[in-house]
Amino acid sequence: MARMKFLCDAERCIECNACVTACKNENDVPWGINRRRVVTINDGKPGERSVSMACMHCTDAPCAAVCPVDCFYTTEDAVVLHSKDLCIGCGYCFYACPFGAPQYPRTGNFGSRGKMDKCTFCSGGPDTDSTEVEYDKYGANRLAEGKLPLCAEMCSTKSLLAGDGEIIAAIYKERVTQRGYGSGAWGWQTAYRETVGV
Amino acid sequence: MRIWSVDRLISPVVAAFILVFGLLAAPAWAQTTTANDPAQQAVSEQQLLDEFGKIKGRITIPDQKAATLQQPQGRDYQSFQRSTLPWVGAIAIIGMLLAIALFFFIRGRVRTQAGESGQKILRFNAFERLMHWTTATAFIVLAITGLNLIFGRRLLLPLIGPEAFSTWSSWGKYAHHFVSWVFMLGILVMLVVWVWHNLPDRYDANWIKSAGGLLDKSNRTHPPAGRFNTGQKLVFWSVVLGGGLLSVSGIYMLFPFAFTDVSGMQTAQYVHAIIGVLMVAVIIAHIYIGTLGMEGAYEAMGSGSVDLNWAREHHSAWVDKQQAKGKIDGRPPSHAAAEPAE
Amino acid sequence: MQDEKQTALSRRNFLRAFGGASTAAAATVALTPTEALAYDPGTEEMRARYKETEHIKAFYRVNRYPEHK
Repeated sequence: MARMKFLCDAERCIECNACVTACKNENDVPWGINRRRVVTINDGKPGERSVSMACMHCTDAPCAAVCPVDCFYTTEDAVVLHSKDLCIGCGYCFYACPFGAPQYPRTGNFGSRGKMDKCTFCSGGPDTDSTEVEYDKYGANRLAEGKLPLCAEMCSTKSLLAGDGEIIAAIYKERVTQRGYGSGAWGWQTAYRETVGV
Repeated sequence: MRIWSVDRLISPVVAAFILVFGLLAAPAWAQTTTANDPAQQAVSEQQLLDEFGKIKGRITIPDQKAATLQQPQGRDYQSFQRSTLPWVGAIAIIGMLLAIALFFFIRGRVRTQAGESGQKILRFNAFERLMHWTTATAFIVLAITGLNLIFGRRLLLPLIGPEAFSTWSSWGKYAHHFVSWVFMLGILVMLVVWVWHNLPDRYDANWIKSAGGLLDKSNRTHPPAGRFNTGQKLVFWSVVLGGGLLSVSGIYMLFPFAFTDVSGMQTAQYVHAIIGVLMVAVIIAHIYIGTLGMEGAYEAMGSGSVDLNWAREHHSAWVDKQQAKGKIDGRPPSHAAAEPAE
Repeated sequence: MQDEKQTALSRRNFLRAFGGASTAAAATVALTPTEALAYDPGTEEMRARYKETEHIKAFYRVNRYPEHK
């Protein structure tokens, strides 16, 4: 069984933010919600690196563990999804998420957030695949169409990898061997409790 | 006209130095910066985590929370929510219920030894009762909706199904948000109205020594006490301090990220949840002793007036003071019931 | 006479206490936090959707170096 993962090759990311734009466009994400973002570390200093980050679809996902209404589920592709019909917008998943993935539309006073929205690995939600209902709530279901998340597919420097964890880890290893350097698979230890051994 | 001025002499020397050192230094400098390994100076994930605990950077979107790339502390929050909190909560609440059950079955009710005198005296006026019951009602709403977030998923969700549970929890969330303001106001007013009666006094040491007479099955031990005895003072201070901590951490949570970052939000949750379950345990004990546990105690907050004999046994010093003020008609103070049993 | 009454009462109290304690113990067992079952929206939603289609194979290929084609 293939286990879906993201891997951002920080040596290639040029912080063009095209992945962010592609995600917003593909999933029709509302204003103020960022399922994916690019963070630049040590900006302007030697050794600066940019990393594109979204939901990592963790093993033993913290969001799923802390949800008071248990609205998360993990698919057989190991993609962590949730039901917006059940979500009460409590915000606990944001406190638990090591990667700041969950996003909330502001809908009320006293921090009453709307239903949580996050990266779905472009694979929709619990509603019927590739329907308008599913699209409205969760965005595109590219995985059901035999495609991968658009952020990775259109990455111009081929920095962002998505897909079968073993295959993308092998691709990254080849790169590190070939060019002789690599700062590692960012977030993997926290998300999957394993790194890409090079 | 000075041809060999000092300035003129220095300049060529300095220039020569710079040239010589520059030529010598150049290869070494080139070696470090043009090395064919861009990863040499690259930031390393593990190094950043070891140094700062989390990884932060610069972001080009307005949401500054997004500048935190990684906070592995989320995993700690996960284990707190999944195991620490439910265990602490279950042990505190079930432990308290068990202790009370055991106490009730072994000790029984605290009786008014002298029986009823038939004469009533005012213990809590209408304002105090309104304040108490408003805060109490708010607390019960907050406790139920709060405990629902800890235990509901395990206990209630399997019974009523995900849709009904989600609807109920959603209303619970709104109730918690709005009723919290009533509770906070109640705590504040209580502090102002009752704080003077809850400062330590000379009766406390003796009261603690004789455990308030709680362990004397014959109901003959009645250590003297002022308006509030030491046990009640402990409840008061746990409510004021616990409620205060709940209010402060709760305000952080009512306005998420307004005053703090994600670590601060996690801390607010830890404080709020642990203090919350401990408060529930304390209030369970308070409810017990105010109703089932002690004969004549409920009337104090129910109708506001208590029997004179009850008051003499449990709050002798207060009765004396009331009598001295002329607020009680009739008999002079009788110390017979107020002295601790030998 | 008085003493007999006392003993009878305390035995009854003991039995009552024992009964109460076991009820509470049963409640403890029932309320003990257990590993929550993840919300199961049904096998249809959870089934695998990923397939190594030509499209996805092409993605992997172009992400490799040319000599690894």
